Amino acid sequence: MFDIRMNEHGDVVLSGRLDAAQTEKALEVLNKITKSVMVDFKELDYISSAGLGVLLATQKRLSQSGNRLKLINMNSHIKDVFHFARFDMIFEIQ
Amino acid sequence: MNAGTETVEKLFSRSIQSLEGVFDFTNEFALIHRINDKVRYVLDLAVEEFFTNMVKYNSKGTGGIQMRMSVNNNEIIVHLVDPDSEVFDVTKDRGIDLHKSLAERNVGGLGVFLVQKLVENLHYHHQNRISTISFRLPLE
Repeated sequence: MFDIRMNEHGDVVLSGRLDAAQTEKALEVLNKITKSVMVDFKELDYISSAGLGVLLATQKRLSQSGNRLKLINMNSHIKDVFHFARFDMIFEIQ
Repeated sequence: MNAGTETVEKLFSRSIQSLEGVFDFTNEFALIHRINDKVRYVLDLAVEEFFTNMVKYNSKGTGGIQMRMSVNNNEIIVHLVDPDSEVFDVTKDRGIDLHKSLAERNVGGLGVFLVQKLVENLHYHHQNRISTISFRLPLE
């Protein structure tokens, strides 16, 4: 089960598993973002290259207006995937 | 499904929506064999990347995609079989440049690239339109 929502602070909160079957659901929310926001991975258990793709597309779009995603609270497995993909070079990760 | 070296197998329809069933299958396997979270993550990632490749790049292929898993000598052994496909050798270099700028980066080929880095003994075999991908993962 994957879920994506905005919390009361305007952060994007991801939960569950962001796999190739969930990219449209993720993009429905991410495509509405127009300013820099934090994306909270605390409740996200899993992400594949399909999930990386939607984040990359959002980061590219936001960067055209000087904005960006800041990713927080990743578990160690997801952090490893970002590292192997060198996505830690194109996202700010805390 | 029994512990030990018995092979378990399941056939999945050629659809991204089959992923939920694929993960149910790996989850059941992981519970029986007490596979730790780190190995389980790599198992799911590898299976997803190869399965979705078979679906995305061979949507007109006939028949479902078969998945087989077993444990032997402290390794998980996984086979994915597409019974009707052109050649798509997942062991080849995907030509991913990890040092491109944000504007130049894309995720084409990234999934297979990641799995090449994370699994062991990755093999691809194609004969009579049957593609078989196999790989191994140490349990520890």
